[in-house]
Amino acid sequence: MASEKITSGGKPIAMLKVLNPFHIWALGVGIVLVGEFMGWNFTVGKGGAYASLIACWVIGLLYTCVAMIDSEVTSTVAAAGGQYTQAKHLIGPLMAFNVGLYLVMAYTMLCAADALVVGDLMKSGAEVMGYANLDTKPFVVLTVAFLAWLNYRGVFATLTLNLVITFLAFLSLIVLFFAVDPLHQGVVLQHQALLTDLPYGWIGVIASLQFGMWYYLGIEGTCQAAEEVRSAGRSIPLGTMGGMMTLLVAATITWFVATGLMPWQYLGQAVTPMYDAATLLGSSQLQLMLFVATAFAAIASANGCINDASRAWFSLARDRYMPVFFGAIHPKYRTPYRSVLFLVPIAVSFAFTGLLDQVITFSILSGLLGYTFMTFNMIKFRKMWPLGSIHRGYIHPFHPIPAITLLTLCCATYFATFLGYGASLLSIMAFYILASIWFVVRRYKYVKRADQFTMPWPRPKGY
Amino acid sequence: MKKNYSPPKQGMLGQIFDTVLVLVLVYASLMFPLLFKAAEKAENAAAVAAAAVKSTWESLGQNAIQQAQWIKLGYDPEKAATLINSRFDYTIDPMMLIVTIVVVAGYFMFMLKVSDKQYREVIAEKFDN
Amino acid sequence: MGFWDIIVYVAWSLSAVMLVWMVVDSFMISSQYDEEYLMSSREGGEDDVVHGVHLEEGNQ
Repeated sequence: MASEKITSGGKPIAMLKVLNPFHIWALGVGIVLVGEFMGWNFTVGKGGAYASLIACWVIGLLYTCVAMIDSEVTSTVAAAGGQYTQAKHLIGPLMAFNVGLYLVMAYTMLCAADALVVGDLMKSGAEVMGYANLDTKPFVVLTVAFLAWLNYRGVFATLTLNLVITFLAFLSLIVLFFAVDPLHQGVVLQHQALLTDLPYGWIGVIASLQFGMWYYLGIEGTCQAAEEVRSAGRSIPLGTMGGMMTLLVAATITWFVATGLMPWQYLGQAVTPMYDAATLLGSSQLQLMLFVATAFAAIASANGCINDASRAWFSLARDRYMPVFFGAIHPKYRTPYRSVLFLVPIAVSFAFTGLLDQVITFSILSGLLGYTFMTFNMIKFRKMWPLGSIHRGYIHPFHPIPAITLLTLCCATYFATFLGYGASLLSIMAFYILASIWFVVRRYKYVKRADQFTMPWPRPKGY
Repeated sequence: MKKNYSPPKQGMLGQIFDTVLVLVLVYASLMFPLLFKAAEKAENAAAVAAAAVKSTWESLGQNAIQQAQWIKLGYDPEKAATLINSRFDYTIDPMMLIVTIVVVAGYFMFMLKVSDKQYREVIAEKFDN
Repeated sequence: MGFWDIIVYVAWSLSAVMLVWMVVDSFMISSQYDEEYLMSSREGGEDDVVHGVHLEEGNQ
């Protein structure tokens, strides 16, 4: 049999280019939107309701910078792996290895958290229907297994599903907004009575920046689809910027509705604040809608995370940064199927550690490290290949102001993480430092040097 | 002109080992902060126990509308008191802050430096040969 | 056995079926296709629009 194996016939295998800007929007917004249904409200606990709104906009600015920078670089360096490939071409192998790890860790851990949410929703659903203590484990596993299966079988169906359920979840927020009679204060919304001064002062505002990332974390994952989207140079900036606008609207609506209904001390620790908001309105239809929407948002997020994490892991393997075995593409479905499969047990095990706090902190911090990298990345990109030296699909305005703003806001968010999770911060940094040392000492010897540079560009200035 | 670097091929066993190693590192860094958490929890429990006096909406500083929303959410003053009285501690330990800044900044500096060295090698091989 | 017990079993079995299907499929692919072919994808693919064009050779 071995002699009859099917070979290339000279033509290399490639992923399918089937996606359009709407899929990109769905990938980006799908990952994030669950954050509007839960998680964002921890900002309220950290610093009060106004702190949460400030965090929403300040971190919104951070992500607008991220989206601008990312759009320019990705429209030029379009490859699966996204920021990882950018790092490889602009900063160097060790940075690229780290960025690849940030992506894999941020998305795999977020996927675990999403699956846990689905499990918990099933449990509370069962409780409402009169069955206490439902075991959540089978639903956590089912979520991950089903989405991995979908991802394994092809990217088009995967992201089309995301498009549908993300859109429905977003729609539910709009419906909720109109249901609270937003123009008439005091009828349903009680902002005057519920909003208080900053309970911790301005330090609370800074502290809330960490969970403020929850409003948008994952939007930058859009560039992982670069090898599967038609005309990436146009679609990715379009999908990402459109996604960012959707999220800014959704985040502001979310804050407005929730803080007009719940005292901040409750909101700051609520597990499913939007569902609670619907409960307070006393309409069982709204309750059901928010229940389903929360589940959809969590599933869409887990789905996008599997998509992005597997592309990042695949790209690391394709360059031999990680074991080359994972760099295979399925000949029929054209997906990085081994990476998809490999991440299933990992995501499930993260979900079952019972360390949700830790897992989420790891995810957020990995994202933050990635944004910090983007600032160096952008500055070097304009220096090494000045405007005009290569064709860029999109050029963002006001350089270097977005990069500098981004770096400043990243520093503030590190400080926020230090305030809330100092020990975790150091422990996670220790992981990346050890992994870096391991890469330099042991792993980099398996990597082909010149092959890492794949863009048809002229020699960079200064090298 | 230097000869291109040609890497060794890694066997299956090595690949498995490398994969497992990364996973072990991840789990270790997830577990590590638990050591600190245990001590913190004991302190918190003591603080909550100390604050357990009879609460009313007035003593908790909740106005009429806030009270109404708490009640709709299924809370009485006793239950709400735990949420209202638990507060984050934002005192900054300057030593820890300095250590953290050094670690994060040092990490990025180390990374940029090593990356730059490796990058020059890549560019040299790509464009010189 | 109540409704929810059945749901739990269904969830476990569905997960198992999908996982087993993926594992079996990936083994079948490995046995049918040449490893070199599966690994032959190249970064950036063969896209035309995306990649930068050298100024010297390209437009302008």
